Amino acid sequence: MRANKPRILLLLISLGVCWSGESFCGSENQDKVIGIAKAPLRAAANFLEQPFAKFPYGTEVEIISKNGIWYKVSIQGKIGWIPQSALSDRYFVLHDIGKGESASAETYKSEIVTAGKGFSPEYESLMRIENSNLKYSEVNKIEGLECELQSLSEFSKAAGLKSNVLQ
Amino acid sequence: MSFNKLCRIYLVITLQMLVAGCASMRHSIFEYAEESGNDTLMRATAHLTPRQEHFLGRSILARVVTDRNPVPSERLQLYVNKIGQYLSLHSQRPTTYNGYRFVVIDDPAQTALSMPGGFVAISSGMLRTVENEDELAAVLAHEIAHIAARHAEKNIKTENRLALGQKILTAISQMVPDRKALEIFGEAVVTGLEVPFNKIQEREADADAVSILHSAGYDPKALMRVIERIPKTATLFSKHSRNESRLSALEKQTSGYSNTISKQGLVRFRTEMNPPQG
Repeated sequence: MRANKPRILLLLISLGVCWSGESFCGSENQDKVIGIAKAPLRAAANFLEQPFAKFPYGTEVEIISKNGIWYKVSIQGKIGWIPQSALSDRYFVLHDIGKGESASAETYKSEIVTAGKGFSPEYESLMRIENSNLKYSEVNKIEGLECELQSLSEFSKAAGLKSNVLQ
Repeated sequence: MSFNKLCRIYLVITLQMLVAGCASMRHSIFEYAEESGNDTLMRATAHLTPRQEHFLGRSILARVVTDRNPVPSERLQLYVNKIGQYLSLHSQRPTTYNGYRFVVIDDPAQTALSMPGGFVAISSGMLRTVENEDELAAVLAHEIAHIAARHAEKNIKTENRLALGQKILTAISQMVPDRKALEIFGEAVVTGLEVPFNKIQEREADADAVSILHSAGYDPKALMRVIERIPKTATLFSKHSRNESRLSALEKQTSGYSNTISKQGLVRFRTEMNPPQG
């Protein structure tokens, strides 16, 4: 047992080195970009905090720190909080951006690096031409039903709901 | 240097390479795909981006609302959207490309359907089945959980990977000399073939829905009651998953919770289902 001690120690150290390497290279530290159409930047990590800026899909983001589902980020010199789900890995999103959609993002002409179908406004236009019966106008109506966060907070309070998020 | 010592050094180096290899695998698959310039490989390994998810979801929704008209009551649509959008903030993915949207479709069947990008359709038949706001929230929370976990995307990727598997076989038969590509293909095919998606995804969505309900202040036991009430043949949630096993899993998960139906929510629900005329 005593003779095995150095070996076990060596093994543990090497695993530790590898583990830290893995953590460093993990997705948390990858380059991030905005992954939603318009991402609000807030001064505090709270959905009810009024956004002071909004950034389009594909905008480069520098991560400063993390607190639960919220990232403290720097975007074009502005520092604030953004939910993790509003961010995407830079590598994937930049292949999906059309010219002129984001001033800060490098653009790619083709849609070949997609999961096969190239789901995009262009694809939708083709769908509309080929399937004129499809009710995209109804889809637009449904998309228009966005509720303000403040109204959602009031809505929950009216029913006596205790939210862990909207506080 | 003794043979034993050499063996030890070899073991350590091997372990390090193994772990480092695993760590970089996620990146290497995609990066290699791009570097290779192989169109098929790139298509198969890439994720759906949030924007692609959104536009795919829009086209699926267009088909849904073409087959089944949205219920014309704007008041009802707004009510369901408020519940759904409020719930979505409590999910693991509170934001999608253009946000979550919900639509009540005119269909007597008890159904609900989630689509990539954050779209959820719920039938008028399902609205007649649920008895209070908590139960309506439970149905919506289950669908939100599917979206948050990107189940649809995973299924799409699996299909791509399976299609790719067939191409690999062709490539091998044509002696395509690209060993790394073959390794990547192999991993993708194994993943695609071995994961029994539907059952796992449904269970995952149930479990996540309970968390969403609890976090949002709704009754976490409401989902159990809805599943108990709907017939086994209903298309809600899944055709493949047995209700009994789902119920027992939910019973375990919610055993620590007491029933907490919101009385104000119940009054609101009844008003919204039968709004005053004029």
